[in-house]
Amino acid sequence: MALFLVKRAAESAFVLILGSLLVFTFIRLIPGDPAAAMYGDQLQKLTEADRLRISENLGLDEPLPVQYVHWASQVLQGNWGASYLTGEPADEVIVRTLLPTAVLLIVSQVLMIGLALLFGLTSALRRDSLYDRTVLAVSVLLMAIPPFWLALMMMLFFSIRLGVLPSSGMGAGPFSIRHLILPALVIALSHAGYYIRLFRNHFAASSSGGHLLALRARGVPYRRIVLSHILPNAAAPLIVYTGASLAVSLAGSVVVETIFSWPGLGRLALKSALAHDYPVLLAIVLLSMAFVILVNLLAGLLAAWIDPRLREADTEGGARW
Amino acid sequence: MRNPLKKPLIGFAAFFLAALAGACSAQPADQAADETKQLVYGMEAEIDRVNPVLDESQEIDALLFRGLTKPDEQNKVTPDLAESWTISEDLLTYTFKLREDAVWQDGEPVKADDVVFTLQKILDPKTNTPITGEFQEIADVRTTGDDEVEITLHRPYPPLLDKLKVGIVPKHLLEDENLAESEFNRNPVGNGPFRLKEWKGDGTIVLERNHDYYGNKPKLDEVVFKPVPDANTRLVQLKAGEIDLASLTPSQMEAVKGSDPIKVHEIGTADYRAVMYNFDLEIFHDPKVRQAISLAVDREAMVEGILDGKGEAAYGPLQKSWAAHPDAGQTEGPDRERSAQLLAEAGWNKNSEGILEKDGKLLSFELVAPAQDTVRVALANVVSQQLKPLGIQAKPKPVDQNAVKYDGEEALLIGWGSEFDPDDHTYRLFHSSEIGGGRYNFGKYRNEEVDRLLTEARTATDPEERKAAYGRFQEALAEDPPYTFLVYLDALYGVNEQVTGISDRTLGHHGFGILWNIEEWDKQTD
Repeated sequence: MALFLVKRAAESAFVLILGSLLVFTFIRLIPGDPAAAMYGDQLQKLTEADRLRISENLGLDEPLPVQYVHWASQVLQGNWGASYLTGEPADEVIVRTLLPTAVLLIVSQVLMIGLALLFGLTSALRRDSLYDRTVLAVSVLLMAIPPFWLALMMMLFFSIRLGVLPSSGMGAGPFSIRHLILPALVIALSHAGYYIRLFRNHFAASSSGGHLLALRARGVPYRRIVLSHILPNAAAPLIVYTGASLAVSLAGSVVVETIFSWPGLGRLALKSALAHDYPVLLAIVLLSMAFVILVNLLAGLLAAWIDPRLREADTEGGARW
Repeated sequence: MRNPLKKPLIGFAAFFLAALAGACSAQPADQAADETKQLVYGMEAEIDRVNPVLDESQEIDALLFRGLTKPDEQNKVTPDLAESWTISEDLLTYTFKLREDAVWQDGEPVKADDVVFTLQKILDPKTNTPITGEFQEIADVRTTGDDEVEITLHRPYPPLLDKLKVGIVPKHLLEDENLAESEFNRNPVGNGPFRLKEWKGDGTIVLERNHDYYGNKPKLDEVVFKPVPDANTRLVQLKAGEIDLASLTPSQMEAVKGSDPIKVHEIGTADYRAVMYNFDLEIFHDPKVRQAISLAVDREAMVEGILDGKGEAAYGPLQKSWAAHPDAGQTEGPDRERSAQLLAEAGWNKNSEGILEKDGKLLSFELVAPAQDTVRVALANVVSQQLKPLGIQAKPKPVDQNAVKYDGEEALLIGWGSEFDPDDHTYRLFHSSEIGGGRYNFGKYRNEEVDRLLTEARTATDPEERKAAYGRFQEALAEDPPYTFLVYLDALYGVNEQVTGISDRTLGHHGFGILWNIEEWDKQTD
């Protein structure tokens, strides 16, 4: 187990360093620069002299490797630099968005997994019935619907037609359920289709097999078979997938947060990218990478704890999932 | 088959519905008390900071920070923090007398020192601000008394008075601060009709009436700036009454119904679009070619087809009030016969492929438009189509806005226009002394008569004399066009029908300046 942990931690550190290098280089390749972003659609007013002057003020006139070393050494000391947009320290800007994003992501993940478990399991148990086929068809539909369209439709229905939910903003704070429902539902629904199908197939695979038939023949109640045999057998891969789904949801939150003006990390990421707010953008990318790595690590550990076979495969250098 | 999960299924569904119903029926907690007269403005972009020194004017700036001057309904300069001023005979020295009753929201008086500090910060190369260029004619600014400021210029610069509407910031709170990173920018202390009440976590900014404001007290109790980045969401929220004011696009007009509680204000702007010629290209040297293009384009068709009627044909860079002959250079719609005749006179003949040719050169050029600006791209395409029958090949080329070389493209779909002093977007664009060095005569246009008239108009003191000079300038421009002017854009604002006081002063770029008379705005409560 210790070996497993050390290996994973070393991998993670390597990925983070490589990632920061790539990101640092690539965001400079986006056309435009902070000076241009400052002028917005009045870009033609930006003179070359102003561009150079502003770049110099921001320390962007140095060679890229020098800038990277400077940035990395500052980050190691806990200094993420000041946002070009607001002038505040980048980590403060980001910390402000963490709670709203965490609340949105957790609520939407719970909703999504709830939906996936519910419909995945029920349709797996009635394979090829009309119910099963309906669930599969609806899940394909959910996969195909673009989240931004779903968001607008929900907004039209709940905010305009029914007038019962606010269409954007956060209200008093991230725990305002009224403001949370629509964005959380859109993220959950737009990912649920995939997971319903995935869960259904896993449950279907683990609900067939001679041992289950034997259990039933022995008169074990069906409910117990489902809860103590089918579910645990399918659990390990599902936990791993759910870990990965958090990364997908984090990415998906960019669109949803922007449409619903939810002041989270996704909206901040988009804004920082458009404004070439390098300190904030770099910090966001690095922190999200660390977060995704951590979640996947935890999911892997959890799965290994549940299913000893995985543990052995990994420490023996065998195939991984 | 028994369903062992019926109970959990029903339980989950019941919980979900209950939560939804509970949330829907809960009273909106974030709506203001009924008696508060509150205007909610749905902004395209979140406001990151408020500091008039650091940004191209944001609408919120003028609510918190007032400057020496302000525009009136006709966009003429009127006194604001400065109660009066004198201009020296050589037009190089301006002396401002400040009013004595203006105070910062922390109780300190607004002094001449604050004005000097603000202008020095704008001119400081260490300050990252896009507005430095507007003030570069200032050679020196100093106090000549507690309430007196003297500004000296390098050259006469009539738009100075318009530019001095820039909000003044308090020296006593900012002099020891790093301006870009100061906490002041999110806790602004201003001198304007409103003051900051709350800056919420979701970027919403609530302003309340400033009772210490020296001018007319606002009728509204609160103005809320709420970021709603998505255009469709803005329209949805306008209809639902969640916001009271938002800019709309022409394509959204179809979705606005008579039964919606919105009034749409269509307001003229000084913001025009034109084809700018690069005079490095020999094919553009003969004025007849440019005249022919200006005669051949169908501006009304562009207004109808691209702007959905929300705009106006453009014949020149000046506001109507400043053109001695409003129709200088104007024609009755496109005149393709006259256009073809001019091209023939200039020696251009169609070759076998139907493209005009002269001395082995084709009348063919790239017409670049910033790809992000869909209106400019559409205009470039229409110009190209309209010129094709004449044998002129304008090849539309959308380019990422960050990659556009303003002084290097063969022809460019450009946008300029100032709602203020006529010198503002003319001298800097068309005078030959403004060529090169990153200045704004990007096309390298040279015309001695235009130079002479622009200088005359800039240095004349008598308004009638100035107006006459601008009239002749417009004629000279029509004879030898630097641009082919296409259209003026109208600004569209959707406003809650209970809101009153909105004026239709000609607005700036992107409909900027709608809140200029916010003190007069009111909201009927039902």
